[in-house]
Amino acid sequence: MEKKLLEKEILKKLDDVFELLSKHLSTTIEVTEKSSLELIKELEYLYKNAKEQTELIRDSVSSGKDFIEIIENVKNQMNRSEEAIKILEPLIDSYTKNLETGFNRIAALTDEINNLSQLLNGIKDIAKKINLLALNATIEAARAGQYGRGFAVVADEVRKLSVKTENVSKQIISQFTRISDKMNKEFENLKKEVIYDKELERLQVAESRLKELESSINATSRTVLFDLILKVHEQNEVVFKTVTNLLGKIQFQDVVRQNIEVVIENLKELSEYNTSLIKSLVSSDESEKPEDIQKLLDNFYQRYVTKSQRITHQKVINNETNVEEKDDTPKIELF
Amino acid sequence: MSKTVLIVDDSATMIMSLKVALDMHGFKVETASNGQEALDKVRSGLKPDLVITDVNMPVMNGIEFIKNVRPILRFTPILVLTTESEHSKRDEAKKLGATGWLVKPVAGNDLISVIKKVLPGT
Repeated sequence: MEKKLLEKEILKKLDDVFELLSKHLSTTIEVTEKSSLELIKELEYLYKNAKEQTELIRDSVSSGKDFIEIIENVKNQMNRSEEAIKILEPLIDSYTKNLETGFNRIAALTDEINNLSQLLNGIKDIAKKINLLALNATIEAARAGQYGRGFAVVADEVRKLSVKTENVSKQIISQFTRISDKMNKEFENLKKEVIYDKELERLQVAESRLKELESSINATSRTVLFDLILKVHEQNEVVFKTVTNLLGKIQFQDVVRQNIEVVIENLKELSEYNTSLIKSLVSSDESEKPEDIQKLLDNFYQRYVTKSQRITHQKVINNETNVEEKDDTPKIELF
Repeated sequence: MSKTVLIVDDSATMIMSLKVALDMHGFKVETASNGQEALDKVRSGLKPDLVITDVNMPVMNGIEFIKNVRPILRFTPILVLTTESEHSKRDEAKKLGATGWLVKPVAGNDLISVIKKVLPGT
């Protein structure tokens, strides 16, 4: 009776020990699995952030492309402006020359009018003198009395003619003066209005500013923006590759899990074996005798899933010290 | 259009890590936690471009799964990704129509290279 109680107590303790070891191992699986899943989530978070950044960069590259298109358009515009300037320059030169010729002609015409005015002034003076002479002739004709009457008539007519000549001269001079003044005024106004040199200067300033803009845009866009985009993009490629490899390496948890599961299975069988062994020890009944321990070890061996498990078994159980520890199984094999 | 990969594995770590890695490289991913579940999905009309399966799984192991699924997915590449290094099992998988045998753990970039080899145009 006492023997039976002892057997029960030992078996209970052995069950507890098996339970304890199994729980520890199962907990190890749970802990490693939980940690691995958290790590995967962190890697996923890292990858998604890098992906987001890459997409932003792709958008930026796309905007950059738009930006380059704008630059190209500006360049084309500048080329067109330069072409326009090339066409305009000889036109402006020609226009300037024609204008100068026109000004010179107007000036010459004004001079001629002035000369004519002087000539008319001479005619007016002569008319005044003729008038004076005619007056003298009239006085002398009066002194001559009846004999000078015919002469007096002629002198009077000459005087009247000279007065008319003087008046007409005065009118023509006045008109010439008005025309000359008007022409001078128009000439000055024309000179003020036609500031052809400044227009040309404006075009040249615009050309140089466009060229400055071109070099400024080129310097900023190509050297700074694209270098930055390229570097960030390259860094993200490194992140992708690293995350991908880490996701592969995390598979170690599955290898560990399967190893531990095999150990738990083997412990379970060992526990059952121990139960049989104890029962056989306390019993005289031959049927209680446990099966051969070699069968137990063979069962252990059958459960192994990795070469390292089999090598360990051979070294520990079979004392095979010369077992090749290196796993030469190809990691990747395509059929 | 992105290619669909069916992952068959009883490990949550394996499924999750492969899912994220494949998603990163533009694949659509379907999952099953054992051979039977995967077979049911294929029988229900799922037509993956590639299958990645483990060997040691509950309910239906990877070898049985290949045996059952190969007549349905006649030309779909099937990669075995496993801790199993037993040559007899590898040979059996090969005989049943597996395309390749990969022993865990496999670096992510190596796995992607293998996928690109067996899936032309990716």
